[in-house]
Amino acid sequence: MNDFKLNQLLDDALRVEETPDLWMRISPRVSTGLSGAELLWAGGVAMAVLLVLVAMPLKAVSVESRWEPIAYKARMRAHQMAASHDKLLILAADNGE
Amino acid sequence: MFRSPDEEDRRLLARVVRHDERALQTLIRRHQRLVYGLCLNVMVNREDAEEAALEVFLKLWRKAELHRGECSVKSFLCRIAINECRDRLRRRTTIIGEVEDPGVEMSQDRLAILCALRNLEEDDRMAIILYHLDGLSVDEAAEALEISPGVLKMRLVRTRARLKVILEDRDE
Repeated sequence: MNDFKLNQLLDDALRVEETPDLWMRISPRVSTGLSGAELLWAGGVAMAVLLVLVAMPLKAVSVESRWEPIAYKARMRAHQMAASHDKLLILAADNGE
Repeated sequence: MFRSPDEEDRRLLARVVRHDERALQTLIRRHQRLVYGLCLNVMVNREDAEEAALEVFLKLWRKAELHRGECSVKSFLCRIAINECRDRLRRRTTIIGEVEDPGVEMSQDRLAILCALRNLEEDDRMAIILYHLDGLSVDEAAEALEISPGVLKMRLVRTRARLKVILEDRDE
């Protein structure tokens, strides 16, 4: 085998026919500065935060509904007291006091 | 204003040091064929080559400032690629001398050459691969291997002679 033939064989053997688009795969890791595993972790943390944010208003509603009857009773009591106070004032006026 | 390809590369690399993503994207598009080709011919397996090439550009992104300007950006990238492939080959469990499934159809000649390359010393194999890669001059290949062009040429002569022997032994 001569040098020319060997060089030709090497050129053919080591030629790269197609190259993948490396930028497509590298850009998410470059933009965030995170590795694949770190991205997974960050995604998990983001999901957890989202769940907490969604759950918080639901919790607030349930707390409000638990206190609602007590607040209602307190309001009613205040109305009754105001009404009886008005009655006392009317009676006092009738008696000329 | 006309700039040589290496001047353009250096300008882009200076922007990569400042974490300019557009500059990195342009550098990748300019040199992905060279880096992937080098990784593919060293690792042989397409999937491993892609992973290695990705790691090369990620290292460039993180450590671009390590380029002191003493060699071309292409040579610098090849140096990173050579080290990355060496690390990965060391971690690999495949028996040296075998060519694992490359994930692509190959001609008999090509397979024979790749098997013969596997029988060479690592430095000699790297010299042959770099010399025959598209888009790399002898000077740039020598820079990537951190040897002088004269030493590279001598190594190529010696390695070609050894390759001929291996291939002729195989044919007999």
